[in-house]
This record gives sequence, structure tokens and C-alpha cells, in this order.
Amino acid sequence: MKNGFKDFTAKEFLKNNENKDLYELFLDYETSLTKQSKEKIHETLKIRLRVMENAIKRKLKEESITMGKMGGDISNKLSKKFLDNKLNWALGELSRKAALYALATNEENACMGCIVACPTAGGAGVVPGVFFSSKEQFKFSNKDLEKGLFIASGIGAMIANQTGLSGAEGGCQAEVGSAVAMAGAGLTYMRGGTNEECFTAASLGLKNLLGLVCDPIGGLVEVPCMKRNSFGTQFSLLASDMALAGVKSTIPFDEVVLAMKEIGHLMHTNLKETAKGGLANTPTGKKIAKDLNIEI
Amino acid sequence: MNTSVLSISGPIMTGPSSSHTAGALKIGRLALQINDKPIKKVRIYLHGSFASVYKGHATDKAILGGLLGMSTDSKEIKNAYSIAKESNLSYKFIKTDLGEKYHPNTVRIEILDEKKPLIITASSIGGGAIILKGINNFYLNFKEPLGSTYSIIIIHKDSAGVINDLTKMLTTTNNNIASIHSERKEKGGDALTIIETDERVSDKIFTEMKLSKNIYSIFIMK
Repeated sequence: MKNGFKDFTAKEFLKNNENKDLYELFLDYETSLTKQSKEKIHETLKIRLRVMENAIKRKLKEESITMGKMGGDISNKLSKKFLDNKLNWALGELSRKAALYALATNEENACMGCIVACPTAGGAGVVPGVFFSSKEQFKFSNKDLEKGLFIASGIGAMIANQTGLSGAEGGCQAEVGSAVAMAGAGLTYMRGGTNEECFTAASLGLKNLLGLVCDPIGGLVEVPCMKRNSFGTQFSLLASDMALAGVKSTIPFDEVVLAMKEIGHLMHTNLKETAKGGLANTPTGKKIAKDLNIEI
Repeated sequence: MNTSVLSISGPIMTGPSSSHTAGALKIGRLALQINDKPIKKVRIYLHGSFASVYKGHATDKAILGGLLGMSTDSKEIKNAYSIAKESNLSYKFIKTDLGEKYHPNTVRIEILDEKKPLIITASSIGGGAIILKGINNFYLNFKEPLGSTYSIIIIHKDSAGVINDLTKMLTTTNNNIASIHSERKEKGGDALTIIETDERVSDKIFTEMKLSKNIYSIFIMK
């Protein structure tokens, strides 16, 4: 490999680079691969974070209806309750905000609004949900978020280097699963985690979404996609907390990715973004598709 | 395979799907770029998941948007049908099965033009990334180049001196060639050459290359 690393894998990154920060490692890799300057990379990250934040704000402010009419007003209505700390919730404020912001992002997406694919549009809510909720709690600066997004993207790139990120190729584990790994590692980095703790957070999150199928009703990126991003944020938060508390992943990150790849290959086509199985194939799922004049 | 870190958190796009909307749009736009002039009539063959769920992901509107030159974050994608009508673009969507060797998100775009018909086959592999799988009867496996390299793809007549003419033009601006690949279907028939360069080809040189003898079609992929 031309950029100083033998392989673009967690193993290689952890083996010989104990004293080097994970952000610097990904930066070395990226700059030698694309010849872009560090300043240019940060400019891009800054713009993407702004688009992410605007999507959340826009959706929480205004209600609209998604293309398949299965949402568009859920996050807006939920915000009126979830942001009220006086009510008695099972989850803490950070968890509720993460779930809310992720939902808002994916509702904005399903309304054909402007979002950042991260790594895909179907999984676009997890990273902004985790980042902008924890920004408030941990007082992250914009620079912290830029670095965190870069780490998250690096984790996604390592996955993409081994296997596809589309639901059509690998099911939802490849979309929301990858997003959960990305957000978990990015958050762990921003909280001062070591390189190993970042990869551990990614592994813990992804392991628990292995096998997740892509079975959207009528083929629309709405049900179960929108709420699934909310649930994904909880995995990232837990993975980050567990990794920072010293919990290890028995299976190393690179091998978790290979397991995801294998499961994606074994998964039946009906469960890979064809809307022919699972929730899409339930009586209610089929009725919704029929009412929308969608032929599967 | 070298995946860029920045390619993962992107593109900035209009929803709802990175593969079925943003990637589909990029394929349409690539077809427009290769065609090098406004498209009047197309047949769009949808394969695999594209055939199953294209309507719900606005894949049809996205491909049309791309053929009309829109960008992935355009607010006009949802109005692609009416804009196509205004632009006199006639189109037909056809569900097809291209076989197992193609990625489930693949589209074949047949541009119907009496003088210069063109067939583009490409796959949307997730997260908005696309791979060009074929031009006319040439089979390709061409991913978007990274960062600082540029690829010039040329369809030309298989004839002595064509490649020499092209590389000579690049030399005049000191543009270094990183790689070159050439193949032909039959002696004197259609040939395809891909030149990867370190610098972007200047507009002047690009025009010269386009007007050069025996060149049918030429475009830059970045």
C-alpha cells in the first residue's frame, strides 16, 4: 500500500502506531491517498457538520409529510415531550436528544430534504444524533466535532474497504450497523479515548447489529429506517461508555467487519432492500405499499 | 481497494437514499457528461433492487435529474418529470434483469441519437459511490478516481496514431500520465482508451483532443 501502511485495517493501525493519535493516522492515510491538504479536509468536514445541524433544526421546527406518508411530523411532536426534563423518563437527557436528532435527520431525508449521507442516507441520522446531542453535554468545540466526524468517516472507510455499505448488498447491518460503529468511535475519540478504545466502541456497536435486515415497507426509506436510526444512537452511546470503562471486544474490529460481510452474502435477497420480505411483506406493510400504488 | 475517508461522510444530498437517489443521479449525470450535449431521448433499464423499489426512492426522478445536469443536493429533483418535459427530454423506464454479474443497483441508459447512439451501464454501490460498468459494448469496472488524479475516457476509431496524437497534446502542458489502458473490439473498429493524469486537462487541450481525428467521444471523470 502506497501510503505508508501495509493494510488499511484496525490491526495495522494499532500494531505499529501506539504513540500516534488515531486522527493523525487517518489524516496521513487520507492526505497521501487524495493529496488534499489538512485545511481543505477540515473545510469539507465543517460544511458537512453545518448541513447536518441545519437538517435537525429544520425538521424540529417544521412538520411536513414524507413521500410515503409514514412520518414527517414524529420528531417534531416528540421534541415537545422529550426535551421536557421534568417528565419522568427512563433515559437520560443525552440519550433522548440523540434519539430525537437522529429521527429528525431521517425524517428530513424521507421528505426529500437536504442531508449528509453518513455513510448512507438510510443511516444518516446516527452520527448527527450522537454528535449534536453529546456536543451539548460534553461541551465539544466545532474543531472537536470535525475531528470526531473524521474518525467516524475513517471507521466507515475501513468497513467500505472490505465490503459494501448499501442495504442492497449487505442489509441494514451495512447501513445503520456501520453508522453505529462510526458514531461510537467518533464519540469515544472526542471524549479522549485511546486508539484501541475507539476501535472497541466501533466493534461493540457493530457486533450487536450484525444480521440486521433491510426490509423497508414499499421500498421507502421510512419504516423501519427512520426510528431505527434513533435506536442506533443508543448503541453508539452504550458502546462508547463501555469502551471507556475498559470493556474489550472479544472479536477484533477487522474480524467483526468480515463477519458482517459474510452475513451480508448469506442474507436472502428478499431481505436486502428489495421490499419483498420481513416488515415489507407483512399484511400491514403490503397494504401500505398497495395504498401508495407501489408494486413490488 | 483504497477507500477515501472523506467519501464516507458524504455526499451532501437530497433524500431519501444515497444509493437509489444520489448515486442514481450521479449515473444520469455521468451519461450526460459522456454524451457531451443535451439528451433528447433515452431508454432507462433498471436492474435488481433498482427495478424493485425505484419509485419509493425517487430513483426515476434522480436519474432524470442527472440526465438534466442536476447536482445531488438539488431541490429540483422532486420536479424532474416536469423539468424533463420542459426540456423536451423523452424517456422510458423499463425493468430488466442484466444477470447475476451486475450489482443489484445497476442501470443501463440507452441514449437514442441517430448520429451517435450511446449505451452507459453503471452501478450505485452504496453511500453515493458509483462504478461505470460499460460504455456501448465495452465492459468496464471504473470507480471514480480519487483526489488529484483525473481520468480521460476516449472512444475512438482503432487506427494508427490516435493514441500518439492524444498523448502528444498532453505533453504540451507537461501533464504527466499516471496510467494508460487501451482496447479495441476489432481491427479498424471501435476502440476505448483510458488515460489517467496527475493534473486536470486544460479546457483548451480538452477541446483539441475532442476535435482530433478519429475521436468519437471523450470525457473527463473526476
